[in-house]
Parts: sequence; structure tokens; C-alpha cells
Amino acid sequence: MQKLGDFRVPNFFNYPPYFTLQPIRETREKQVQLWKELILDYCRSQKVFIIGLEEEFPLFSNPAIQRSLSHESREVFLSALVAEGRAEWIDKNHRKCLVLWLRIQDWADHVINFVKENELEDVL
Amino acid sequence: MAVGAWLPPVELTASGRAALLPGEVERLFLSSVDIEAEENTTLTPLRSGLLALTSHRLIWINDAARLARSVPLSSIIHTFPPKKSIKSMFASPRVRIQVSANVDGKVVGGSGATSLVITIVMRGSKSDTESFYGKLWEVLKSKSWEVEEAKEKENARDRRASVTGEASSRARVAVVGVAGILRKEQEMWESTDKSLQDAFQDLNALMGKAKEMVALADKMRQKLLSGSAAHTNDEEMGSKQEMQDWLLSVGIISPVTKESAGALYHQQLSRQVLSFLADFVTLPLEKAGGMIALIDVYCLFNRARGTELISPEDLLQACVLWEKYEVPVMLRKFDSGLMVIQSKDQSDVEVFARITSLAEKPDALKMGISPSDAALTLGIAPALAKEHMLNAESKGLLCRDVSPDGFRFYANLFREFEPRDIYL
Repeated sequence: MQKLGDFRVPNFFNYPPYFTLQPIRETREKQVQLWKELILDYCRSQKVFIIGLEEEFPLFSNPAIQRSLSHESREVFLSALVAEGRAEWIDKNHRKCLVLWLRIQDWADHVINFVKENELEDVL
Repeated sequence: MAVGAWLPPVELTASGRAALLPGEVERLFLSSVDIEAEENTTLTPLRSGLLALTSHRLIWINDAARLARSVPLSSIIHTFPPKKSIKSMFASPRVRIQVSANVDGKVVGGSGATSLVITIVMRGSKSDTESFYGKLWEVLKSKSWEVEEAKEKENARDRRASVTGEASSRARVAVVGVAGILRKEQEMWESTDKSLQDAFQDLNALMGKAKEMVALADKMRQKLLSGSAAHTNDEEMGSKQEMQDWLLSVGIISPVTKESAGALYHQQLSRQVLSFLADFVTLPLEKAGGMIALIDVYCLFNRARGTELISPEDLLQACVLWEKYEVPVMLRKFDSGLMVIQSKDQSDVEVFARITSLAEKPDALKMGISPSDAALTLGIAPALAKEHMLNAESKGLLCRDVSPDGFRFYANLFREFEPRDIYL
């Protein structure tokens, strides 16, 4: 099993077409879905919040098979996350992306639960 | 009585062209032509067909009924020059010929006991009687149909002459020494000179020789085709392939030309391409999975024609016409603009199956396949292989990988990965 730091990458990370934006709709939808899951998983486990489109990002290239994502495909995958409410563009030019490990709603639930569990209600 | 039974029938090829006699060449085509027997109304007239004037016959073909009749030129006794009168300006142009017939009133060729007058009515748009009459006259004068017979006789005479000649020279050689050798030299030189002169005397003689070659090649090809099922020996197949290739270059006996076919040029050309495909290109066509690039057909076809080359545009137009007829092949244009000729009984499914099995080999799963790899394995042109693979991609069978190394295709594994559990 290949690793990125201490992150375990799935098998398809070594599948070269995974790094090429597929033009056929059905295939592409599946590919985008796989990327979304992988990005979220990686950010959650590595505690990464922000992905810069023009910066090096370990997940976006696989030196073992000499493939990396193009700028266009990075934007497509991150936009898909944004559309689902799992990420937000920080700037207008779509250069930086804030990845939300959880949806805003889920964060709110988390906070409430945390407060309740620690009996911090009504305490300021 | 069947329609036009008073005229001898003509065999049609699968593509709807008349089967030509040895040495027969088409000279002129006219559309929408009626043939009527003028004086004898009991003979049913032939209505609206294609008239082809060849060096041996007048052939009338009705496409819809797949019916063809001919008037052998040898039976024509007299042609009436087209009349010029006020009346003829309004009626359809017509040419009248007098042909000999046997006692039953049937035209059989050669001279017969009776005769009848046939009217050729041209209903086609602005058919030119003058040019038809001129061509007919020219063909009649050249008497091509007699050439074959004459040749036979000449051969026989030559054989006799050579036998007697040998005997006399032997007698002379027996008499003298050095002078005899010299004379023999001289004789040999003369005979070589004569045969050289024979061959190059004029273009017609040369054409005659070429025709014999083509006829020979045709005969050999027939033999090859008939024998191909019996033996499947590898070496034999190889030499057969070579032979086939070689025969391809000898080619077509009566090429359709703009001059002979006029307005019907593309229609006739399309039929000729069709029979050419059926006769010569079946082998490569089958091997390539029923599909061949138009450019390849163009090269093969022009090589077969030898002279009278056609332009790519003409071939394209001829192929486009296939849509109108019931033919076993069709012209197909890929999204990229690549055009191919595809036989209709070949389906994409078969090609897809071959490509998928190719993509699922262990090597291909790891490295993918490039269009040129596929072209080599499938035995087709790289451009065509790429089209097939793009097609397979759009069906979700393959997916692409673009990298600095180039464009490669992989078996589509995306369908098998599960987004819910990416570590499966």
C-alpha cells in the first residue's frame, strides 16, 4: 500500500487515467466523486484546511506513475466540492480553497454537542 | 412474353452494372431511354432505362426491375441520321436504326432473315442525338466485335505459316555453311523487328496486348478466388496474397470516364467502385474488421484504373451516392472527419469486443494501449484505430490518460471503484 506521509492512499491512486480529466460524462462523474472523497479524507486526516491551486499539494501528483493533475482539473474537482457545500473559495479568483471537513450544519451540531457534553450551557 | 424478350438478355453484376464481354469497353451512357420496335407493335417496347453504348453492344438496363437487354452491334444493318424538322424540335429526340432479326422477329446478332427498325427515344434531359449518333457511327465503323474473331483466324494462319516456314529454312540450312548462318541471323533479326513493329505499330495494337493481359489477370483472379477455400496452407496463403496484390495493379478493364458517362458519371462510377470493392478489396476489408479508410480505397482504385485516374472529390461523390441504392457497404464519417467505407454486416460490437479484450491484457492494464498499438494488433490504420477507441470511450468501455508520454487508453476501471469505500 502506497503512502503519502502517514496517509494511506487508495488503489486507484496508481491508475493513470485518474489524473486525466475524463471527457465522457458518466466516467467523469465517477472520477469527480472519487476525487471529492479522497480530498476530504486527506484533509481530515492531515488536518489541512486550505488548498492553494497554484501551490504544491501532495495529493495532486503521484511521482510513482509520473502523473499530476492539471490546473483545470484541480479547479473542476474543488468546484465540485464547493457546489456540494463541502468547501468554499476564499478569494474571487478561485486560487485558494477552504476545505470544510464537515458541512457548516454539521459543525454547528458539533459545537452544540461539545457545549452540551461539557455542561457549558449558560456559561459565558 | 417477358418484357423485351425480342432482344437478347444481358447479365447484371451485383452492383447493377452490365457484365461486359471480353474486350468490351463502354463508350457512352444515356439516362431515361425507351427502345421501341417501330413497325411491329406486337413487340413490347422497353420503357425508361439506362442506355449504355459499348464497343460491342447497345445495352439497355432498367434498374428497378433489374432487367437488361442488348442490341448486338453486329446485327445493325443501317442507322438513319437524325432528322431535323420542326416536329422533332418538340418531340423527344430519337435515333432510328435498322437491325436484322430471325424469322420469329427476334434479334440475335449477325445477319438474319428479316429486319426491323428500332427507335431509340431519349427522354432524358437534353440528350444530344448528334453526339450519340456520332459515337454510334464511330463504334460501328471500328467493328471491335470482329477483332476477336479476326485474331483467332490470324493466330491459326500464323501457326500454319510457321510450320511451313520451318520446313523450308531447314532445307536451306542443309545446303549452305557460313552463308546459311548469316541468313539465319538475318531472318531472326527480321522476325524480331517485325514483332517489335507489331507491338508498337500504333496505340490500338498496344491496347490490344494490354487487354489480353487484363483478361489473363482476371482469369487468374477467378481461379484464385475459387481455390482459396480449398487450401489454407500458410505459405500458399502468403503467395496468394502476393498474387492478389499484384493482380490489383492490373485492374479494371473498362474504366468509367467523364467522357463516356457524362452526367451519369458519378452514378456509374459509384457502381464501379462497388464492384471493385467486391472483387478486389474483400480480403483487406475482412482483415480490417469490415472497415477501410477512404484514402486507402482511393489509392487502390486509382492503381487499378492505371490511366484515367479519378480525383478524390469524384470518389467521394460516387460513394455518397450509395445511400440511394441497396448496397452492402456504406460511407461513414467519424466525428473527427475521417471517412471510411464500412460493410453493413459489420457492427461496432465486434470491434468493441476486440478492443476491450486487448485493453484487459495484463500489460495493457498497467501501461494502457496507444492507438498505434491497437492498429498493429487489429491490423488497421492508426487513424482508424483511434476512432474505434474514441468510440469505445464514449460507450464507457475505455478511459483516457493524457501525459507527457502521449495519449493512451486504459480499460475503464472507474465503474468498479466504490466512492463510499475508497479503500476497497
